[in-house]
Amino acid sequence: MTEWADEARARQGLYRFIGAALLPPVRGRLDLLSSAFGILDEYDLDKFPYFIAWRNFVAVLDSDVLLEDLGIEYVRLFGVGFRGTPAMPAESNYRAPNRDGAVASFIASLQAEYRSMGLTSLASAEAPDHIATELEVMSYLCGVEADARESGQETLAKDTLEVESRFVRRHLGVWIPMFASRVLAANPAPFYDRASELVHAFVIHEDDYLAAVVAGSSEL
Amino acid sequence: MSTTVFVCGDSPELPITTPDAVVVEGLCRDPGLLRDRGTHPDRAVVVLHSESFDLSALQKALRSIGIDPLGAQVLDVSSDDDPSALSCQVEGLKQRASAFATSAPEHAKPVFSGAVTRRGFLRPPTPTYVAVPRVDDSTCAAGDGCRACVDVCPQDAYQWSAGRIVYDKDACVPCGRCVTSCPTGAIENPAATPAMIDAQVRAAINAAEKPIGIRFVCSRGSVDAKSGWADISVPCTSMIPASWLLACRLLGASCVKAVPCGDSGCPIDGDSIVTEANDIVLEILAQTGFEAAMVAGEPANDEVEHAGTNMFDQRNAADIVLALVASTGTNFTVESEMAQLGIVSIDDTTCTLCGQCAKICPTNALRESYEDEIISISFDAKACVNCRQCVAECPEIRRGAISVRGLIDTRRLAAGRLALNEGTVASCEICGNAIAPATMMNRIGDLLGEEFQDTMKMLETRCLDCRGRG
Repeated sequence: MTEWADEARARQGLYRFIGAALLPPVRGRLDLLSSAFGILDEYDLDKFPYFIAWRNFVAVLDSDVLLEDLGIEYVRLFGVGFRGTPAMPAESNYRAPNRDGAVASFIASLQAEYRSMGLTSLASAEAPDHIATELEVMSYLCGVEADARESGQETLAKDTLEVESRFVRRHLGVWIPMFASRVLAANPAPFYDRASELVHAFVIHEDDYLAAVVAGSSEL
Repeated sequence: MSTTVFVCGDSPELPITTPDAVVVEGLCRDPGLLRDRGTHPDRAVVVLHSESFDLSALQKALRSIGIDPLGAQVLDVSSDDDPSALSCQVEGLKQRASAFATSAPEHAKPVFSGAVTRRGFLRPPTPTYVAVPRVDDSTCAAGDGCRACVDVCPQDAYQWSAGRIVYDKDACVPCGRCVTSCPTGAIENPAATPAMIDAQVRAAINAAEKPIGIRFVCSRGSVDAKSGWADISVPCTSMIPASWLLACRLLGASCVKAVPCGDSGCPIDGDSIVTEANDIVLEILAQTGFEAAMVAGEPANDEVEHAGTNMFDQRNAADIVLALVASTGTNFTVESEMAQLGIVSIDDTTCTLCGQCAKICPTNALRESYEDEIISISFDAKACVNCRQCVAECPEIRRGAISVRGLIDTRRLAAGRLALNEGTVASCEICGNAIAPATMMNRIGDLLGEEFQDTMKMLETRCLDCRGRG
């Protein structure tokens, strides 16, 4: 195993971790997040600027978070209410023009992108443009990259890295800053304040970092 | 807010006189040793005596103790031999670090040294992170057409698109020219904010036992320390406006200078801009009796009063200039294409009073007003930043309707707002509402010619709403 593979594994875990933090809060999921933290923290995350946001989020996770309060806050921030949703956690809400059919068309093109990666979305899962889905897609790609590096398939690893970079630049890197800014504007509870800070810092870094690695790589 | 000075303890000669410095043995060789100190300050100054320290490792170590590396100040003293200047430098950096507010994720740009290859090593290279600017859309004037950052960027990192500025972080080699050229202060580099520069300059001057000079130097270059000068590091000295140098003078610096890097391989290539800024300041100081102090670096008039706060905010350039006039009792005039202030002139024989210049003016130096059926364009020299966007926008520019001179004229600054052109407005004969300035109607009539006299008559007498009526 190389350190390139280690890094891809760490990123795979981080995408999944952050995506889970932005799904509806249930006890089992919070417990998993707490246990996953210890594993992820063993990687050299302090190499990256999002480390401070990571530590801030973990500090909230370590504190006694009341599940019921968290659930109410989740619905207030991300659920559909009669006053609207302060920060809809779905890309089409930020990217698709406000006209008939635009959202469906946007999601169809996103699903086509998923199919090109060998993925399909289940009707029972979150929407294809939900934040957790998109983060999970990136987690999957990082997993493919890590597997490729561990088995010495460098061309596949490099190609996957390019797909990752493209997906972040086209999707997450565009709308996550807007989403995070809306969450912060809604005066969220500390858990979601720190979670949105973390997803923002992580995604922006991924966008820059992957682009720089892809641009600078000659033999990856 | 606590700020700690970490000093590498490997060199016993390291002439640091900061009493509360934390000495770390081996810090130059292994920045990770910062983790073992058990201190967790909010901000840090790191003093090293080696040019070859590992910056990415230092940034990693700072993060691990909770410090944002973009706000930390690093001082390499390997070429420094003046203990008194060093203590001023450290005190200045301490205040600069303390004035650091925060950075957003968008402000950090990863930089790899060389190509990322696997043949040489099996581990991913650790990038270093440099601070890059970010545009605050809420205060950016691009919606009105402002393109000041697009015009000054030497890397074409900015583009104007449909009323928004699109910033390409990958293309940006941070020089800071966009920051100090932005008329609305909407662009900020968190590592060199006006507040941080202000804090550092004041602290360095106050900490000095005798009057010292202030030099702005490029953070990428290597400039040997010089006795009697305190160095202020900035992304590129071509970002330094003349008002920053004057502000240092007002704060009590015996001499001031922006140092051209002289690096022929630098992609920013800003030495001519630096020289021009220095020349503007030299000219101003010469006219106000300070030339000797500027050039020779000798103590100057200590009675100079400064202009208050935000002295390094480029939008306050006129206040800095007027403070200098108040201190010296001398008015002056300096003309340069690159002056931070400008004087707009309008030719009332060709201007149609269309108001496009006022609409695009990002600082409201040009303003359109309409009262008692008179439309006027007025100008306040104090607000003009010589961005020349009014010229670029003017539809009558080929006939020379508007021009801007890069001119610092202190009498004009003190004169306040003056009317540049005014005229009557044609009114609708049906509803009485204003149609357009009479000069604009005349111009349209000239363009249409006699063939369209009937059309012209309708245009001149009916407003848009009433043109279809009997």
